[in-house]
Amino acid sequence: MSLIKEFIQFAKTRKKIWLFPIILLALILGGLVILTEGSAIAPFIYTVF
Amino acid sequence: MKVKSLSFHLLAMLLVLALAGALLEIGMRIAFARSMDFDIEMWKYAMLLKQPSSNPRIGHEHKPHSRAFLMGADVQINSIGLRDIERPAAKPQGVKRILMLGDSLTFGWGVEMADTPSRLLAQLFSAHGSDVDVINSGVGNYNTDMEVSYFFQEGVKLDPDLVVLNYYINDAETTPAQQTGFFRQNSYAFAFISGRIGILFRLLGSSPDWREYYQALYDDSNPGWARAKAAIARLAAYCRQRDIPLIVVNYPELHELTPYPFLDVTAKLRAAAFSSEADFLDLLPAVSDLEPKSLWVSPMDAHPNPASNRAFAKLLYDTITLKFATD
Repeated sequence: MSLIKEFIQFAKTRKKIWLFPIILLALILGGLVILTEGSAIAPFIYTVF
Repeated sequence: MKVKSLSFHLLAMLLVLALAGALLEIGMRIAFARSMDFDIEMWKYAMLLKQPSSNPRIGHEHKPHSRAFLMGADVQINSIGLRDIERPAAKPQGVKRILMLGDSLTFGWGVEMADTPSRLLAQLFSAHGSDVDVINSGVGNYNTDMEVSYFFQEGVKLDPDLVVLNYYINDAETTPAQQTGFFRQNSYAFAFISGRIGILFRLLGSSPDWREYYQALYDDSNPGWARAKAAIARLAAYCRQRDIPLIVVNYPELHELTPYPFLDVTAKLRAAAFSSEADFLDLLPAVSDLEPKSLWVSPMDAHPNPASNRAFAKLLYDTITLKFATD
């Protein structure tokens, strides 16, 4: 938690707030991959046709 | 001054996001150029090898002469839109032809052409000295109604001596429409992320898992199953009138084999085949003693691998030879 606070403080001081969305995106994507890896729970679903 | 600063930050965030999206797409195209990811590979299959059909009941079809490397296997489509060898239009003298109708299992998703059920069946005939063409007309994401529509438009031209309707539990789905949208049709990242979000929802219980999804297809309220039964009856009537044997073959769902959770679906399919006076074969006994995951093409894709297809082809061969011997 302190690491996150420290990072936010750093970003504010150094004016790097624009980095937040990309970090959030990377976290969401990474979480999605980790949570769903190796799962064969889905039926055969097709993206286009 | 504060507004100007805020605008600058927002603009920078948007630009960074756009750049990140572009980099993600490029990275995925490199990382997944040859992959075993079900969603990405099925997306490639749709974009590279499929096209909408002019017949709305067929829905979609393969692009003739197309080729791609999908799910670890080289896939080539021949001049008549089949994953099959080139054959003369007219049946050669003295040769029997078996037409395999079906979906991605018949197509041979995730296996080389030599390991598709059709080629393995042909090999068995050849090894026993019989001159039999086994034609693979399987197309991924076909349902029974689409397969039978294909048969009446194209399959009859191949002049089969035996028709095998290969059935998988999702063949009672309604006919899929092509889904459009720029990202859906152009982005690896979209295919991957949307697939993974779908899995996450199923893990969280807010979307049905494979068991619930497949079982629901056989609710009385599902029009897809009614259309599948009607298609079987239509195909059987045509074959009966022309003395062409028809076998409806049930491929087991490979997540769980003992106890098999869809015995009621198998019974419904058997009843539909028998009520249409077609033969019926259940392939579950060919693999029921085996560990399910040992039969899959990848840990996240329960399509049959070469070992499964060999077991299926053997049982199919034994049944067909018995049928031909008695008929």
